[in-house]
Amino acid sequence: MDEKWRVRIAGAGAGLANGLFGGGGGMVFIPVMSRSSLKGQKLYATCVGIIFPVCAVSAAVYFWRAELSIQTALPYLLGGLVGGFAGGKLYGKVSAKWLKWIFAAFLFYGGVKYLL
Amino acid sequence: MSWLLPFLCGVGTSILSAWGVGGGTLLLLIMTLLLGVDQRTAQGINLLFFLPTAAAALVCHWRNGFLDRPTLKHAVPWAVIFALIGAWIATAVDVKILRKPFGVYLLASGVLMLWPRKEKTEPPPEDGSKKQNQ
Repeated sequence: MDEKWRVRIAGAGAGLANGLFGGGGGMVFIPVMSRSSLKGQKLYATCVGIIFPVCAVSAAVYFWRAELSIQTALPYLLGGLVGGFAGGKLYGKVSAKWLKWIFAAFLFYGGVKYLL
Repeated sequence: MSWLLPFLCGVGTSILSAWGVGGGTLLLLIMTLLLGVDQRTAQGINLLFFLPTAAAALVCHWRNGFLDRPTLKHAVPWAVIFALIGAWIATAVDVKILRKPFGVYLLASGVLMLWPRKEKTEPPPEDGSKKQNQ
């Protein structure tokens, strides 16, 4: 596939999924781009660069059309700031490998719960 | 005290995200499955939640030269247009309609998460070490 079109399709898919489900666009972008020349850290960093504007415009639509309340969101956002700081401090001190398995199990549980 | 549990969930998911576990869907699932937040509000909060962390990470990535300009140039306009379409649909249709596609999406995410991929097991150390300075 032409590289330009692969990038466009990956971007469009990530944008659509992220807007529709409120997150997880990277889960579309990374696999579609896995056969491109962009690899490793550059691929992940560039993915964040694409998801950032996607989240910004989607959040604006949710604010405008779904009357999202900042009061409800605030505790999560403040927690996120504290957690980001703590996560950076603790980075590399804890093995994230088994956490990944727990998270995947949680995803499967959630998936089944939504489908039933 | 109704803010305490949401605050702690924010702390927990953010720590895990900094370690490369969770990404965008963990907080969303906690909100909808465990805290009883309605789907649309949870999706909106999840979108907002990503912005400050991503902004901090992007500054690091920009300084380290990890952002690929040609890819951004081609992907961002398409991504933004389709994000607007997606967000518009999500706020226009009955949320119940989105439950099944979202369920499939979660299962696919779970499979992708466990799929052996070299890059996945090596989260960028710059993010974690520099995030604390942001």
